[in-house]
Amino acid sequence: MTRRYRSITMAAVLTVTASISNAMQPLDDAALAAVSGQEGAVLEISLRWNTDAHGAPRTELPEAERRFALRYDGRPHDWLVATDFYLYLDIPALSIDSGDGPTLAEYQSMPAYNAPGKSSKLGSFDPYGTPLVELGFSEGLYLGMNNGIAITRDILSGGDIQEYGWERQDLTPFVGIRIGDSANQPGSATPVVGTGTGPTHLRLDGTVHFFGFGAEL
Amino acid sequence: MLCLAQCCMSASASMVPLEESELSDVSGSGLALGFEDLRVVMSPTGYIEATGANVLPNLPYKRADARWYGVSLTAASSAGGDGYHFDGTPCVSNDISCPISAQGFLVPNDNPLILRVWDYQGTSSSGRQYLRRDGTGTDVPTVLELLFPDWHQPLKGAFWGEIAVGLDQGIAAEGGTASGHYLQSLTILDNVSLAGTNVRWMQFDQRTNPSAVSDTTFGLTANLRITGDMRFAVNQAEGSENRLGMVPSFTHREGLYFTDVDTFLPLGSLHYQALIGDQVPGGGDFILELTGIPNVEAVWQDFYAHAPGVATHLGYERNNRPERYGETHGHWRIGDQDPSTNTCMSPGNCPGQSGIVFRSAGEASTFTVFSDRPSENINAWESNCTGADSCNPPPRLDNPRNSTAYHQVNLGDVNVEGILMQQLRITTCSTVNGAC
Repeated sequence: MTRRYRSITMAAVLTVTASISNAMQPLDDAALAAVSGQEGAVLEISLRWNTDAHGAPRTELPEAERRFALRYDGRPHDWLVATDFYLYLDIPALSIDSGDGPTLAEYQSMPAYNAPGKSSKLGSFDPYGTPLVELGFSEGLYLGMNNGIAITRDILSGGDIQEYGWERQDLTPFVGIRIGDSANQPGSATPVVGTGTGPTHLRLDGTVHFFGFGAEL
Repeated sequence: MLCLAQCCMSASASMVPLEESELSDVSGSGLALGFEDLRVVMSPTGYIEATGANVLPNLPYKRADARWYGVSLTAASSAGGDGYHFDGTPCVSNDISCPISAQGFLVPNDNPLILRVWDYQGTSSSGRQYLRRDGTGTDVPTVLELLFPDWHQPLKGAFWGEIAVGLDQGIAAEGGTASGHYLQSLTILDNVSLAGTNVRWMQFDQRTNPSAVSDTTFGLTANLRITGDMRFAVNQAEGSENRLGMVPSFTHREGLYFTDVDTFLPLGSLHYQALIGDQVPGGGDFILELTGIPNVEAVWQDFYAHAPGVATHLGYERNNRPERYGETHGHWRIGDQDPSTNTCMSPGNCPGQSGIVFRSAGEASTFTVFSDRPSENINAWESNCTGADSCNPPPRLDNPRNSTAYHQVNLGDVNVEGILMQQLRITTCSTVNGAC
C-alpha cells in the first residue's frame, strides 16, 4: 500500500472541537501551523484502577470500595456488580496518524485481498482512498484485571432503600475473572516461575484504520 | 465521530473549515474499523482466568480453576509464512499444528467492522416486519449494533489451557509445581471466518400486552456465524515442562480435529426475543435468559418461518423454505458431508481430511482405532419425497472403512439443521452460599 499521509488531520479534529465550544470560530492557517500534533501524535496511556504502579491490587482499600457497578435500565433496584475490581492498562506508545486509505487497485494488488465486493452496509459511501485515522501500537500494551461478577438488588423496606445492591455485604460472586501473567509478579525484578499474578503483555502488530462514514442506503 | 470523518475531508483541502450550514448537513451511518496486517499475540505466560472459590466441606464439589494462556489472533495458515509454538520455537510447517503465524491479517476498509446506531422500523427489504413482543411493528426500539465484515482474511486463533481441580489456594499459589489434578491442553482454530456475525443491544420490553405497564430492561441479540477448522490436543512432547503456569510443548500431530466447521447460532430476534440478565435473591448468583417466544400469532409466523400457504406443516419444511427460515433457524455442520471421500487409509492421507478426525501422537502409538460409517445421501431425501408429508429414507451407503493398521481415524461428519431456541434460561448456582 502506498501511503500518502497528510499532516494536519489531528489539527483538524482539534479545530472542530475548539470551534464547537466557541461558536464555530475556525483557527486560521497561522494558528494551525503552530499546532505541534500536526505531524501525527504518539500518546502514552496509563490507567490504574485500584492498583499500584506495578499492577498490584490495592488491597488496603476496603473491598466495598473496590467495586464497580452498573444499574439496569428500567430496573431501578438491580445492579450488575464487579467485586474486588482492579484494572491496569498501560499503552507505552499509541501512535495516531492520518492519511488516505488504500484505493481499490491497491487492495487488489494485495495477495490477501479476496473480497467479493464492497459491503452493502456502506451504502453509497466510497471506502477507497478516503481520509482516515490510523492507529498503531508499536510497543503493544500491558493489561491486568481482576473481578467477580454478580447481579444483585437493593434491600428495600417500605419502598425505601436500606442498602444499595452494590454495597451489600452478602455478595458472593458466582464467577471471578482475572487477566494476569504467570511469569510476572508485581514488585519482582525477575520473572517468577508460574506463580505470577501481575499484568501481562499483549503484542499488537499492524495498523488499525478508523473512519466514520455517512451514506445513503 | 461523524464530525471526525468530515474533519479528515476538510484536512485534505488545505484545512478549509466547514461552515455551520455544512456541518448541519452531516449525516452518518456509523464508525468503521479496518485492519491491515494486524496480529494480536499475548505473552505465552499471560492468561485469562476463571477463578474458582473454595467450597463448603459438606458439599460434593471441589474447587476448579481454568486458565487460557497466550491467546493469539493471526493470519490463517493459508497465508503462508513462518509459524511459531508458544515456547518460541519455529513450527516445522505453518498448518493447523502450528499455533501462531508470523503473518497479520487483513480486514479491508470496504468490508469493515462497523459500530452504528440503527432503526429497524417497518419492513425489511425482504418484506419482513420487525415485531415487538405484542406482535405490533411500530415504535420498535433503536439498536446499537456491532456488525462484522461480509468478508475478511481467514484467521488463526490459538491458546493453551489449564484446568486445575481441588487447589484450595488456586493456580497462582501452586504455580511451578507438577503435582495436583490439572490438565494442560492446546486449542488451535484455523481458516476461521466470522463474516456475517452481528451483535445488537437495545431496550427490551418484556410485556406482550400494550396496555400493560412497561417492563423494559437491557436486551441483547447475537447472530453468531463461524466457519473454519479446529484442533484440540493434550499430548506433551518429551522434555515439556508439564508444570502449572509453565509453557508446555505439545507434539506435532496428536489431537481431535474438526474440519470444515460451519456454525450459525441465532440468539434472539428483533424485537420479540432477547438475551437478558436478572438477579437471584440473596448471594451473587444471576439468571441469564433467552426470553421465551410470546404467544402471539404474528410472532410465531415470523419465528417459525412457515412456507407460504403451508400452514399445516407447522414450520418444518424441507422444500420451499422462505428466506426467513435461514435467519431464525441455526445450523451446525462439521465436514463436507461426503464421508465416502474422507477416510484414513494411510498415515499420509489423514491430515487435512474433512470431518471429525482423531490422530495419535505417532504411528508407534498403542492407540488403536476403528469406525464403520454408513451414511445417507442427504440430497436423496429431497428426491424421495412423494408429497409434502411423505418422504422415504434413502438407502444407506457403505463407505470405505478406516484402516485399523494406522493410528488415526475419520469418524465422519455432523449435520444439525433447524436449530430453533424458543427459550433458554440459565441460573447460576454458587457452591458457597448460592441458590442451590
